[in-house]
Amino acid sequence: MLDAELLEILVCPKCKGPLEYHPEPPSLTCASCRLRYEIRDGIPIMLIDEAQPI
Amino acid sequence: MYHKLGNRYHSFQTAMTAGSNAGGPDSRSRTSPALQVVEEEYEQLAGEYDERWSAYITSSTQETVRRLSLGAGDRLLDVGCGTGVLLEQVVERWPAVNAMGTDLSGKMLAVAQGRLGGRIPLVRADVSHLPFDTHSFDVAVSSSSLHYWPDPGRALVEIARVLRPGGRLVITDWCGDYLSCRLLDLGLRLTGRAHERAYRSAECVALLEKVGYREVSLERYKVGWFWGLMTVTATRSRL
Repeated sequence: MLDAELLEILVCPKCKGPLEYHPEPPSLTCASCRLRYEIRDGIPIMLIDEAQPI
Repeated sequence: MYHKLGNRYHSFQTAMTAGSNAGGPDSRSRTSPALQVVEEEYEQLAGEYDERWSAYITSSTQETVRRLSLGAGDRLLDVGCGTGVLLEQVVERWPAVNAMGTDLSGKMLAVAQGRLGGRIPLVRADVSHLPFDTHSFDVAVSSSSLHYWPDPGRALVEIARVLRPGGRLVITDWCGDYLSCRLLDLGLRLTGRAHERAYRSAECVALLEKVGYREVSLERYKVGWFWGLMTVTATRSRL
């Protein structure tokens, strides 16, 4: 589970819009950019180039 | 780390008692490829980074933390937190501060996570595209990272975005006013891969003022016989 305070302030690095948290598999998605940011070993990988299209 | 950079570097490096993060670049490639090089280099360095650079890291982070002023409940972002040495000092000195760290390298962050035992949220991110909401932090700090940023103006604007109005920024890095650091900078730029450039103190102040920071003040100082560092503190505009 991600830190609650971190989750509160995390946004999409591309559009700065809100993210949706998915516990399984751990990831964050941006609906407007249609990108999925993986969370690996508890560390969100918030790199635009490494995000997966959804 | 230096054996990864090739033998031409090794003799240069071993002449110094303590290191820095370094790399060296093709500084002509400015955007994603440049960042990729930094990232790849640190993926290689992570395991031995602390051991090899311990004197430099300890001194430079202590000098940075010494210039921080934090209150209970402040939210702090360490940009380019590396293996988490500075964050560890922050939470030891100010247990009530909400600290977070970002770095481009996943392996450096893995070392930081081990050091910090999950006490501090860590995020893999690029300083020019920070994944934080506007006005999220009271203080941003960065130690030995500025010389990697391909577009420091953009990075400083992005840091200002995530700082609250009136929030504070503290940056420590090599200072090009010192001949030793100018030569190192030149050497890295000519031969290395991930390094972008070291700035003189006046350039650093001008960079911050140009993008709207206020109350910019800079101190430069030596650490050991080799390193000439500078720590600049600034306030984000209240607008």
